[in-house]
Amino acid sequence: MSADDLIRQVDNLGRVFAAEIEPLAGEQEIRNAQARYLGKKGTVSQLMKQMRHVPAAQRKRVGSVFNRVKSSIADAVAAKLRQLEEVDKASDLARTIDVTLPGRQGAIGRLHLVTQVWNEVVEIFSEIGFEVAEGPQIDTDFHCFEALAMPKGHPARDMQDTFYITDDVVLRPHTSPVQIRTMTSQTPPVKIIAPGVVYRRDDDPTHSPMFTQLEGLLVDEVVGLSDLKGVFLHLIRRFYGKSLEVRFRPSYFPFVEPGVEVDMQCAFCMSGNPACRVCKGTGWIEISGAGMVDPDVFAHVDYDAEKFTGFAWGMGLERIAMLRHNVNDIKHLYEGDVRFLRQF
Amino acid sequence: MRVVWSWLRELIALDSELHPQQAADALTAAGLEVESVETVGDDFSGVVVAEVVGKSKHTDKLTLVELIDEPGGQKTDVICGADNVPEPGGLVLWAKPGAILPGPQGDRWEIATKVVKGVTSHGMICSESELGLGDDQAGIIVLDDIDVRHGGFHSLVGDSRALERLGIRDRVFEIGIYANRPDTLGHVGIARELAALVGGQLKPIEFSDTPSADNLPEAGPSEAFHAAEELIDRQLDAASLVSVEIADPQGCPRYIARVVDDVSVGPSPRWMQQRLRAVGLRPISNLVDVTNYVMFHYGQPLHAFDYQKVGKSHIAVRRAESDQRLTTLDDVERSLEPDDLLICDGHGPIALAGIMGGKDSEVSESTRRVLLETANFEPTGIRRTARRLNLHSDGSHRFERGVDPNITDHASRMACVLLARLGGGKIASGSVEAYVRRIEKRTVAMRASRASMLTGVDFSRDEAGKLLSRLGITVADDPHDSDTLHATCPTFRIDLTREVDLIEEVIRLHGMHNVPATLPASTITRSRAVDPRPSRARRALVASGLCETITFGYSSEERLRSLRLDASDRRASPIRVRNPMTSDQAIMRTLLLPNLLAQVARNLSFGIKDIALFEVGSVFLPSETSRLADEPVHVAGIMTGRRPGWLRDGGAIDFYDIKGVVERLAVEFLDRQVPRYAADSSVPYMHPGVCASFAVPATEPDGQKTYRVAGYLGEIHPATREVYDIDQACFAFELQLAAFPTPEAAQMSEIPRYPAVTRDVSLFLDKAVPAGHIEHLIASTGQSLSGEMAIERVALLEEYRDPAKVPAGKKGMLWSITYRSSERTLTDSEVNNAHSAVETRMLSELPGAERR
Repeated sequence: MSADDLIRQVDNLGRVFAAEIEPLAGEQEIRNAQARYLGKKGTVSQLMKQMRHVPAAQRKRVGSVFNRVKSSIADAVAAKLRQLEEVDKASDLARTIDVTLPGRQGAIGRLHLVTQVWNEVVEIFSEIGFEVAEGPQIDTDFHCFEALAMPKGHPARDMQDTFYITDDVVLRPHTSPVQIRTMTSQTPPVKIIAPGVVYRRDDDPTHSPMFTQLEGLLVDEVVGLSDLKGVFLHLIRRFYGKSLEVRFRPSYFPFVEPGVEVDMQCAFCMSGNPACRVCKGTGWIEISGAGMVDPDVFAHVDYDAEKFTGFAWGMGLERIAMLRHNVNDIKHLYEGDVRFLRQF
Repeated sequence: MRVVWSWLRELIALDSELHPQQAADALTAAGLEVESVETVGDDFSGVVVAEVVGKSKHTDKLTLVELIDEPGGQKTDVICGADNVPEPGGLVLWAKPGAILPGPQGDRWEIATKVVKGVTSHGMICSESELGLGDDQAGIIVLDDIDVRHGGFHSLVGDSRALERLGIRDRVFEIGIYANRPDTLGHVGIARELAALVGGQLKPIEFSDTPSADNLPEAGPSEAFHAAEELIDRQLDAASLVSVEIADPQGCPRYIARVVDDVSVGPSPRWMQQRLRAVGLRPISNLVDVTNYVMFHYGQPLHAFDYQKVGKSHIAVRRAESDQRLTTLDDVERSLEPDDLLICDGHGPIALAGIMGGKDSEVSESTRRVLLETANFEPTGIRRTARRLNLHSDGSHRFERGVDPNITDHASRMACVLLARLGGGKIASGSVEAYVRRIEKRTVAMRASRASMLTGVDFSRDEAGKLLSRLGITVADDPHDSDTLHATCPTFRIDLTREVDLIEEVIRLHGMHNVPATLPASTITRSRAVDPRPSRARRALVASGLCETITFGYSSEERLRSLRLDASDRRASPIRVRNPMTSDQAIMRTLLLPNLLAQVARNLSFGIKDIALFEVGSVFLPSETSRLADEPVHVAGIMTGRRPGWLRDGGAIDFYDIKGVVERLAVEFLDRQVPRYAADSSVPYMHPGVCASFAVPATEPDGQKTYRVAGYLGEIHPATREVYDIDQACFAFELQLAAFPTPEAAQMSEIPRYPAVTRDVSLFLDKAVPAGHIEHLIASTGQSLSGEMAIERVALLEEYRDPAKVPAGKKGMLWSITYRSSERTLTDSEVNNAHSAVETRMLSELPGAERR
C-alpha cells in the first residue's frame, strides 16, 4: 500500500468516526466507539500495522497523519463527553421537588421546664460563687424544724403544713435541712444554694403538694442585708433578662432576723399597668422569703454568732418559671401531659 | 386580722390626715401586710337617715309613713309593709327613688317611685337584709340612740356622714399578722404601729372604776368609755362575790374576775354589730358582743360566765384530771387530758382555759349577773390543747402567740364598762385578781455598729435610738460605750429579747426598701462536686426523643400493687405518709414506673396515643441502718404508640425501640465498655418473654471483673397496665443511676489511617440461638487474630424466619464483619484467612449452623 493510500484511508477513518460519534448520547457508547477505532484491535490500530509497507522515507509523513487523526478522535471523544456532562448537569439543575412536603424528623425530646430553670438558676448563682448542696427528701424533725428555731408547738410551724412519716421524720417542707446539714459538716465561710424537691400539704393553682425549692445560704464575717439584695438583683436581672428592681418588706420567719419578703418588679408590665393581671396593679411580685440567719440557728450548728453573720433565702423554682413562661396552673408541671411538656 | 378603719382612726391622733390607702401602704411596708382594703356599705347608694314625722294606716298590712331627710325638710310619703314602723320622732333608713340596693343574689336593683293601693310611694324604708347588712328580716331598721357611737342621735338626719357615724359605711383592712407579733392582734396594736410609722400618738386612756386604777398610757384609749361613777354599785363588792385560785402558775400567770350585776340581755348597738361583722364575727347579744369587741380592741380574749352557773362562786385554774369531760360552747363533748388547762368552779370544769367556754356556764337570755374573766395563759399549753382537740378560736389564736399580761386589767375594765352601759347593769366594785407570775419589762443592749453591719445601712446610735423610741421603747445611751444603747421594751412586745430583734425594728422603721444593694465580698474555694449522672441521663434521653416529666415522690397503694411484687421484695413495703391529703399520696414511691404509667394513662385518656416519657428522680426505701430512708436515684422511661414515620406510618413501638434508648444511655455512661443484656422472665411487672436485665461492667472490691444489674427493660406486663386501663403495649425501662460508674473524661482513640475491609457471613442456625451469643463469639474470635488485625465492627444485617426460605426450626442471619489494622493496609489473603477462621468457628460451634 502506498503512503498516500494509507493517508487517505486513515483520514477517511477519522471522518467516519466523526460521523459515527455525532449522534451518540451515552458515555458507554462513546467509549465503545473510541475503542473500536483506537483500541488494540481498533481500525486505526489495525491500519497502523500497514506502516511497515511504507517506504522509510515517507513513514514520518504518514506517521504524523496517524497522530493527527488519533488525537482528533480523542479530542472528539473528550468534547463529546464534556458535552454530555453539561447536559447532565443542566438536566440535574432542572430537577424540582415539593418543598412543602413535611420534613423527616425523629421523635422530639425535651427537658422538663423545671429542669431547664433549675439548670439556668444553678448557673446564675455559680457566676457569683455559690455551690450546689443537696440532701435527703425525707429528713428529721430536728433538721427541718428544731435546728431552725422552730421547736414543737411553735406557731410558725403552721406556715408549712407538713407531711409526717413518724413523729420525728418528715417529708422536708423546705430545703433548709440542707443548710443545717451543710453547717453542721463544715466551718464558715459557707456559700451554697440548695435546690430540691419539697413537700407541703397544699393544693391549689399556685401550690402543689410537691414542688421545687431553691434555698441559699451565705455565712461569713461581715455579711449584711444589702448583700442579700445584691444577690437577688443579680438573679432576677439575669433570669428575666430585664433591668428589674428588687424590694424588701419586713417579714417573719423563726430562722431569720431580720426577716424579709423579697418582691421583684413586675416583669410583665414593668410596674406600669394598673390593670396588670400578673402583679394585680401593684407593680411588684413576691418571690421569696429571706433574712439574716437567726443567732438561734447558729447556736444549733455551733457557729459563733458574734463572729459570723449570714443570710438565707427560700424561693419556689416553679413560681419564677411560671411567671416567665406564663404558666397559669402549677398542676401542669406535674401531670405529664405531653402537649404541655413539648412546649418548652 | 381584720381591722376597721374608723375603729383604728379613733384610737390615734395623727400629725396629718391620711387616706386609708396611704395607711395601708405604710403598714404593708412595715411588715403588717395589708392584703386587701374593702369598703363595707358601698354596695348600695341613695340611702339616707330619715325621721318619721307622720304615720297612718293605709291598708290592713300597709302603713303610710311621712318622712323628712333634713331638719325642717319637706315631708314625703312612703308606703311600708313592716309592722315595726316607729312613732313620729323615730329614725329609719330610707332608700329614696333612684337608690341602688344589693339584690338577694348579688344583683343590684334600682328603687323607683310607684303607686301602691292608690298612694304614690317614694322609695322604701329598709330592713337589714335589704341593705345586705345582716340577716334580720323581721322588720325595718329602727335606729336607737345607742346606735350612734359618739352620741348626737338627732343630728343624724341631714348629716351626709350619717352612715359612717352608724358604722354602716366603713373600710376594712385584711392584715396578715406574723406569729411573733400577737401585740398587733387588736386594733390598739395596729394603731400603735401606724402612729409610729406615719407620725402620731395613741390617745390616752380615760376610764377607771376604782380609785387605785393606774392608767397605762401605752395601753390605749377611749373617750367613749368614761366609767362614770354611776356605773358602779358600791354596795356590791367583787371580792365577796367570787374567789379565784390559780393552781398552775406556769399555765396561768394572771387572772382577773369582775362582776357586772343586773344586766339585761339584748342586741348590742348597731355600731358595735357593724364593727363585729366587719372583723368577721356574727353579733350574738350585748354580753357576748362586748367580750368579742374588747378582744378585737386590745387583742385580749375575755370570757363572760353566767354568775349563777358558777358553782360555789369559785374559780380555780388548774390542769385536768384524767377521764374528765367538758361540753364546750359548740355543743361538743370533749374528753380531757391531764395536760389541758381548765377553768373550774366549785364542782368541776366550766371552760377550756383560753380556748372555749363550757356549755353549762354560758351566758343566755336569762343571765342577770355576769362573771367576767380576763386572764393570761401561757402559749404552748394552749396550743397543745387546741391542736389536740382541733379546736381553734379567736381566743386560742391570741393566747397561742402570747398576750401581754399587763393589758389584762385594761381589757377587763373596758369590758365591764361596756357591759354596764349596754346591758343597763352595774359593776360590782373592785376586782378579784391573782397575778402569780409577774412579767417585767426587758432591757436589751444594741450596738449601732452591729445594726449597720447587719443591714448594710449606716446608723448612728442617736438615729437608731430615735427610731426605737417611736415604738414606745425607752432608750438609754450606754455611759461607757458610745456605740451601745440600752432599750427597755414594753411587755406587749414579746418578740424583742435580743440585739438582732432590735436591729430588725431599726431597719423596719428606717424602711426596708431603703436597704442598698451590694454584692457579697465573700469568696469560697470550690469543694462540692455535683453528681453528673442525672444530667447525663437526661441529655441522652432527650437525644433519644423522650420528653422529661416529673412525678410526685408519693404514689398510691393501688399503683404499687400493680407491680405484682412479691411480698418479700423490699420495694413492696413502702414508707407510708402518716397524713396524706389523698390516697394517691399515701406511700412513697419505690419505683418510678407506677407514676409514669399513671401519666401515660392520663395522656391516653386525652386521645394522645404516641407517648415517650422519662423521669430522673429519687425513690424511697426503708433504711436498714437509719430512721431516714434510702433514696437512690432512678432513671425510667416509657414508650408506647407508633414511631414517627415519613409519608407513611412509622410502625408500632416495640422492645427494640426501648432497647435503643437504653443503649444510647449506656454509651453516655460507659464510653466503650459494653453492657450485657440477658433475657429475664422473673420481673413481675414485665412481660415474661419480652424483658431483659441490663448489667453494667463493674469491678469487685477484690479486683474481679463482673457485671452489676442496673435494672430492667421490657414490655410492661398486661396485668400491670390493666390497673391503669392502658390497652396498648407499653415498653419501659428503669435503672439505678448509682449502678453506672461516675463518668470520667472520655479519652481519644486514634482515627484509623488504613482502610477497613468488610466481609459477610450468611448462615442458617437454630432459632433459639440469641444474637448476643453469636456476636460475642465473633468478637472473641477476633481477639485471637494474628498480627495487628482486629475485628472492628460486627453488625447483624438481616434476621429472617420466613418458612418459605428457611428450614424448619431455623432462622437465617446475615452478619457483616469489618476487619482493620491500625498499622497497614490489609491484603486480600490476610482478610480471607481471618474471615474463614471466623466462619469455621461459627459453623462448628453454633447449634444447627449451616452455610446458606
